[in-house]
Amino acid sequence: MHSDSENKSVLEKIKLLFALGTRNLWRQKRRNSVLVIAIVVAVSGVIVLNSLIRGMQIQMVEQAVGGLSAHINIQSANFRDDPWVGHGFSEDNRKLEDLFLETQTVQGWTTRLHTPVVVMSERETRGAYLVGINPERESISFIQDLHIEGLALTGTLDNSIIIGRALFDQLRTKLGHRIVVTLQNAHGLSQDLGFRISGVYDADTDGIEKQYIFTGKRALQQLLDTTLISEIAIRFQSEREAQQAQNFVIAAFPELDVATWQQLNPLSAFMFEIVDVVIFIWLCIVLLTLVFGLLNSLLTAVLERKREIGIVRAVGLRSSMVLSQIMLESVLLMVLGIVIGLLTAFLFLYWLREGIDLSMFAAGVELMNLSPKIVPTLQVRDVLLVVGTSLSLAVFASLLPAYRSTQINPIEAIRG
Amino acid sequence: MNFNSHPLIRFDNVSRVYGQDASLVQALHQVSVEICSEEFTAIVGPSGCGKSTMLQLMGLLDQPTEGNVYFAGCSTTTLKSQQLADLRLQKIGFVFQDFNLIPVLSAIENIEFPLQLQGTAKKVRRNKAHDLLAKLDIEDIAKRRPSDMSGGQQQRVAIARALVSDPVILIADEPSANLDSQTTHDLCDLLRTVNQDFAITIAVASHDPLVMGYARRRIHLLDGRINKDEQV
Repeated sequence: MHSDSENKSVLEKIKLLFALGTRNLWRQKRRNSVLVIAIVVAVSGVIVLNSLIRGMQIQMVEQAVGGLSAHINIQSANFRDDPWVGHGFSEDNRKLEDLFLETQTVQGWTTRLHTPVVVMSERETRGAYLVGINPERESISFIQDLHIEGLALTGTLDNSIIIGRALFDQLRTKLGHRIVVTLQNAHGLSQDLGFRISGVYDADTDGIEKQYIFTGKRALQQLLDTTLISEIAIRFQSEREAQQAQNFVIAAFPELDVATWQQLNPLSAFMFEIVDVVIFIWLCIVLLTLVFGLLNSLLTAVLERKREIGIVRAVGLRSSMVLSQIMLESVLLMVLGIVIGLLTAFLFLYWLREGIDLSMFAAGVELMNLSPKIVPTLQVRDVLLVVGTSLSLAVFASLLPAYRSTQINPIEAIRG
Repeated sequence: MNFNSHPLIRFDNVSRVYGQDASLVQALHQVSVEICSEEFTAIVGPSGCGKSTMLQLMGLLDQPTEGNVYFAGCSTTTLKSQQLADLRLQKIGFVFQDFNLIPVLSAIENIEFPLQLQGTAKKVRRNKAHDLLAKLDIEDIAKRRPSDMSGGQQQRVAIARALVSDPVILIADEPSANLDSQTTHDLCDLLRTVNQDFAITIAVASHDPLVMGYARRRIHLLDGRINKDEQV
């Protein structure tokens, strides 16, 4: 236990170290300003780029989870190999409702019937997927947010279709025109179905617009003379809750194939996994370059102040305090750089709050399952990582100069 | 340690050698001497005779190659660097040739520096520093930094810093080297006052006759040996 007077004594010494540290830094205004600017650029650059990478990561997950697969997607094993209507399974809404009553963390779920089709307009023919949906349950996917020119699907019995803008353009048809889709029905027979285009949707990517045509699920089942569905998509409140519920869902549907979005979107899952590593490596590379600047500056400072260090040592400053003083100067420089760097980063991120439009790189963006607009996401853990790593490196960079300062012989230093 | 007993500092066959082999320099050679409390001693001699080395050994800034240095009756040879630092901080005041103030601190902060290292409360140390500033007649420069002071003012601040922690001995190495004759007179008067009024032992190395004239004891060094030890 320290007595009150001992604590006050330590406090006085700390005050002295702070006074000496700050004034010594101020003494070398130009050199330290350059160093602080370098720290500001590094810290703000790392924070902004980390936020962009984190935004991409979150968007990738959103794109994957907000796609048709959701967090967990249930299909028959046969359907995954061969997406034929006949490989569907019976819909048991009662079972689903009971199940999700138990799993409170479910944000929503839906069932769909989908099948590959050949689409023919009056001018062109293309391949696509025809997806029968229940529009009321599609709040869990991107379908809910689609901007639709014309009429949206009104319900599961709606037998009109909405079609993606890119496919619409390829088919060179018009809103309200009829198109014919050819598919293999549940009996294994080729079947042609005629639909009127009630709406044209605009999605984030051309890939989605070219790939999916939507109609009412029940209407499609009636047209195909089946009660089967192709998939159940379940969205949870969060990724963590989805992972926790995975085994529960597998147990509830033992005869079906339960897949996570990671299994269905391995590229997105891989990108999601490596982002943390990428951020850390990037952070270390940038900050390590700073360490050399800091190290050089501190070594020069120790050399320049050799005489002064000798005096304070002669007067009675312990070598441990000399060591602390040099380390403190390094940390103070870094703290100043970090504070200004963070403010700069926050301002920059505020300016970028609407996101960065990457539509000029549409193909690449689509390949990475991203939306053309990247919205930076600042996470507290990323800020803490940058601050923690920077401060640790400041201490690390000061070790050699601080050690050298303790090796200064007061006599030699005073003699000059 | 008993600071009332005599002698305050005792050199027992002390030798100090610098360098190795061909570059070996014998700065002090088997010196035995005692410095008693409240003495005003001048260590005199030509350049290179070992004055500074003797003062550094007295000030516990250095350790002898051979022999033993006793401070207040205790051998200092076995003390660790931290213990020596603490002893210097609390019992020894230094005045260096080039004043050697801390450039980033003001006059009053320089004076307070040893007390702050000792962890003395701000109010106490500020009062003490102000007292010294008044006694040394430099109150008007309390807030000035060393770069804004004259040589004489810097030397007075250095003396105030050396006195602030109530040392038992004040060690001054060529304190008048960078001062004009009038300022040197003032400095010597001040050292005499410190010695008589504060009852502080003074050990000063100098080859300035003016400084030598103020001392009551002169130890003459030649080639690292005591050539003459005279009471004046």
